[in-house]
Order: sequence, then structure tokens, then C-alpha cells
Amino acid sequence: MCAPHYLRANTVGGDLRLDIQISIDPDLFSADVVTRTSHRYTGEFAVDVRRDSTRYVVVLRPLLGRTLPPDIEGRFRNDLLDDRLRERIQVQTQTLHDVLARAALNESLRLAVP
Amino acid sequence: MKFLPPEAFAPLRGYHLLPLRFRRLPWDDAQVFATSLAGDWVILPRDVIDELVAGTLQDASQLADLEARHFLARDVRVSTMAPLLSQYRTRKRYVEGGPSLHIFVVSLRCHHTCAYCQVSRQTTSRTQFDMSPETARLAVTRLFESPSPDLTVEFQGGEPLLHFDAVRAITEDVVARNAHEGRQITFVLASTLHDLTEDHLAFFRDHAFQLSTSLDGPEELHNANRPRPERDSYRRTMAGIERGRRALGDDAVSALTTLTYRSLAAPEAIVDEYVRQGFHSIVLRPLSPYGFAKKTQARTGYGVGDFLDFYRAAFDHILSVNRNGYELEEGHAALLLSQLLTPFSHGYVDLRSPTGAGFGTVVYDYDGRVYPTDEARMLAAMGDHGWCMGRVDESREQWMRSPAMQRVIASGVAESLPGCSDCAFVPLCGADPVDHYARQGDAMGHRPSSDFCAKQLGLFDLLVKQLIEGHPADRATLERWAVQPRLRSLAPGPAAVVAS
Repeated sequence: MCAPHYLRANTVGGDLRLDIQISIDPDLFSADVVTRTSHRYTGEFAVDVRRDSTRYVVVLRPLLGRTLPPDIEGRFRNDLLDDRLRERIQVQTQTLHDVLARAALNESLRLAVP
Repeated sequence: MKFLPPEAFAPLRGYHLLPLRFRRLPWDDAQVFATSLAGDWVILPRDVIDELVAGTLQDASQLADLEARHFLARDVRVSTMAPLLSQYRTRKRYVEGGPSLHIFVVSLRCHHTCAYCQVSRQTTSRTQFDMSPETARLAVTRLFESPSPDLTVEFQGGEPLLHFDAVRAITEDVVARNAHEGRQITFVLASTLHDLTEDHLAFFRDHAFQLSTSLDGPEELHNANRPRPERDSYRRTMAGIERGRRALGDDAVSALTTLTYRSLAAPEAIVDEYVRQGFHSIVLRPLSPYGFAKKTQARTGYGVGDFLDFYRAAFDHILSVNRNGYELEEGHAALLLSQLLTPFSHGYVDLRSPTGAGFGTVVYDYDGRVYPTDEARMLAAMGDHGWCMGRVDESREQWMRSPAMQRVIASGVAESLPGCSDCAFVPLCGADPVDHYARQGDAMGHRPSSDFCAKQLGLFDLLVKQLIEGHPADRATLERWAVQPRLRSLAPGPAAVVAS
């Protein structure tokens, strides 16, 4: 699913920091799933998402004052799997969701019509 | 009579998936918390969710349980969506009612100089910051334009007792007009209670007022948080509470805390103070980034992680107090528990979607300007008038068309917001566009760094963990909070709203 990640050291503003690069198989995860999962990490990390012909690469760099958690790859992989499952749920149920919500609130919508 | 062949009564294979969301348990990532469209929830192994979505789940008891909770539908020849629709409609019932909480800021004058003050304040002599009779009259006219059958009229300030004439005039005007309106009216006074007189109390008794005050904890902490020149805020507050109880009854007087950095070191002491003073409800309210609280943030502020650490300690102590036989409820937990354990909507302005800002709550400022929440008014007091809906001499229709309400509408439906739309708690939670704007500069908000989200997730996780792993006696306590809340305005049923 994910090719082995690697850590990369870089200097930002004079500070030495580690970031992590995670490779992702595009045959298993859609672009929407990769970006949704990456977005979840934008509170703790500066996130870069790239694509080449064979893979996505997500780079997570801890924001100022934060460190790279030891379990970060495991967390990200779990979130990718979860977001892929959410995508499948949405495909199966989105239309029904809209129909049900509209049916449930139909009386309220009628009240809103002058 | 002829019967169909036995095969006709055999259960169909397969099922149809219904809308659902899920979240891994932070303390056990092999399990998930899953919610249905209407907020029914279940704890499942992560691999069972995979099977469920793949259409391969076969365990009969699991299928039956998930069908009962509206995660799937089996035989479409006999299945009906009516229970799910009814549950969803019940949870969103506040959509139909219009604003039910109307806050009248009758004066900005106050005799305190609290560093964390989340309202704009003026000294007690500056009567130009009092609400005029004409503004009050027009505000009452606007109030009755709300279609809600239940209306809460809440008086705030500054210190509303410093302009009691307006409190009396507005109350009498509301009562007079309600003679032919026939609404259910609740009056609330949010006050220090330092200036209560017998005349005030008689008036409040005649109109069944609820009194809400601040008690930050033991005397030393309360006085440090809420300084007066005489340094006796705690003594005056306790005297006011006692007088209010004698005149109106114990249940008519409630208190809540505002938590400063000092408060975080004393969770048990704060809870014990409430027990000592005979309260049966406490609201542990964190600081918000408004008014003087924002200016003094470096000195009095703290992060959401610190708040959650404090809350867990206080919560554990509150459960212990209950196990020892004294009933004490935490107000915010009671709101979240009512979401978790009942299908009813409490309509609390920050915990509903669409947001309650402007739709559930209207704030009439002393100068006639109108805001969708008290926080929006505080932003205006800090110089940002972008959330002003209009004025009391304009119609509600004009307010709804205002740029402020367009911003609210665009960012006030949690199910459509990035980060919220697939959150398992979204059926039970809400959008808070004004808070996100105040903290992040963006009404839609950035959920991964949102303090509101972090707080809500932390509290929901705490309560869910307690419900599934806690002592049976503690679970009974939490169930009681959910279905029999102490604060009357939290009672389930028609959308009832409390002030934030």
C-alpha cells in the first residue's frame, strides 16, 4: 500500500527539523482520499502533496514548536484506509442521504415558502 | 386460508447500506464509534465496518442491531424509513421554530473590572450606555415577530440591575403583548446579584424569573478573578444568591464558572465550592477570545489541552460527588449527553446545525443594533462590526438578508463544512461560525486546528468512554443528566435554548 517512507532532515529558519515522506499507491487511493487525509494533518504539519506517474508523495513537516511523532506513519496509513472507506460509503449512500434529509425536513421547507 | 410457501418467509440475503459516519476510538483504534444519519450510535470493531460497507456482513444479531439503529435496511418490501425520518426530524426540530432566545443588553455599566471580561463594560455612572425606552419597545416588537411558541427573554449587561427600569419595562411590555400572543415565556436575569433589592426580588418572583450568576470557585479564587475596589465580590455574590433563593426558591438560582488560568489548578476545589453552597448544577465554561479576555490572553489565557485536562479532573470529581450521594450535574456535559442518549434537540446555539446564530438567538444591544449571538456583539465592541444583522427599527426580513446573516448561512451548516462533513459526531454537534471567525479569521474555520473542534471531540470522547467503560453507577448519573437535566431550559422536547 505505502512504499517505505523516509525521514529527511532540513533546515528551516536556522532550525534543524525532520519531515517524513509517505509514498502512496494511486491504484489503491484516489486523489480525493489522499488530499482529504492530508488535510487532517494541516493543524500539526505543513503538508505537501505531489504526484508523479507512479505514486503520490505526501510530505509532512512539523509546524514550528512541534516534533515528529514516532507513530506518524501508522496514523496516516490508518486515516488513509478510513477515508477510503468513507469514500465508499459516500458512493453508496450520498443520493439516499439527500433524499432522506429532504424528506425529513420537507415540512420545514414548506414553511419557508411565502 | 392458504399460506405462501415457506420460502416466502425466509429472510432475504443482503441489505442496503444507509448513510453513516465513523471515527476510531482514540483509546482503542481497533474499534470505531459509528453514527447513523439521525445520530443513533454504536461501537463496532473496525473490521466489522469494512464488512458492513462491503455488503458481506452476515452475523444475524449484528445485522438486526444495525438495522434497528438505522445503519442498514434489509427487506425493502417491508422496511420503512419512517422511524429514521422521524428521528432526524426530531433532532432538527429547531429549524421550524425561529429564534427562541432573545438577549437584551440593557446596559454596559458594571462595577467589576474582571480581566477576563468577555463583554464591553463601562463605569457605573455612564448612563449613556443604557438601552433607551424606544429601543426597548422596538426590540420587543421584533421579539414577537419570531414564530417560536417558546421564548426566553434574557437580560444581560454589563450589570442589568444597574438599569432595572429597562428590565421592568421590557418584562411588562412582553407580558402585556403576550396576552394575545399566547407564547410560553421564560425570563432570565444574568447578573452579579450584588445590587438586588427587595423590590427587584418581588418583581422577579411575580414573573417567575430565573437568576443566573457567576461563581468562579472558593472565595480567594472568585475574588482574584472578579475584582471589585472593595475586594468583596465573593461575599456580595453569596449574599445575592442567598436572597435570590429565599425569594424565588433554590431551583430559580443557578451559577456558572468562568475558568481562568488560576482556575485550572483547582478543579476539585471549584466543584467542592458548588457542593458547599448547595448547588446541584455547575457549568465549567472556558474563556473565549472576546473583549478584555482577548486583551489579557497572555496573562489569563490557556490552551484547549489545558482546559480538557482540567475538565477531566473536575468531571471525575463530580462523578465521585454523585456516587457519594450528592446530586451535581455538569451543564455542558448534560447538553452533550442529551444529544448522545436522546433524539431530542436542545437547540443550544453552538451545538446545532444549522447554527443557532440568528436562527435560534437574537441579541439586542443597548444602542439598538442587533446581532446573531452575544459573541458577535462582543466582536463589535472590539471594533469589528461585520456580524451586525441590523437595527431594531428594521424588519426581521431585512436582518435575514443582511451580509452578516449571509455569512452565517454560508458557514453555519456543519454537514457541509470541510472536516465536519464526515465527522462521526456531526449529527450531535454544531457549527459555530462566529467563534471560528474570532479565533481563526475565517467563519468556515480550519477544523484540524480548531479549538472548538478539539474541545468538542475531547468532551464527546470523554463521555462516550464513560458510557461504555464506566461504572454502572456513573452511567446512571450520566443518563439522569441526559433525560432529566437540572437546568429547566435544558429539558428535552420543544427546542429549548440556553444562553452561551
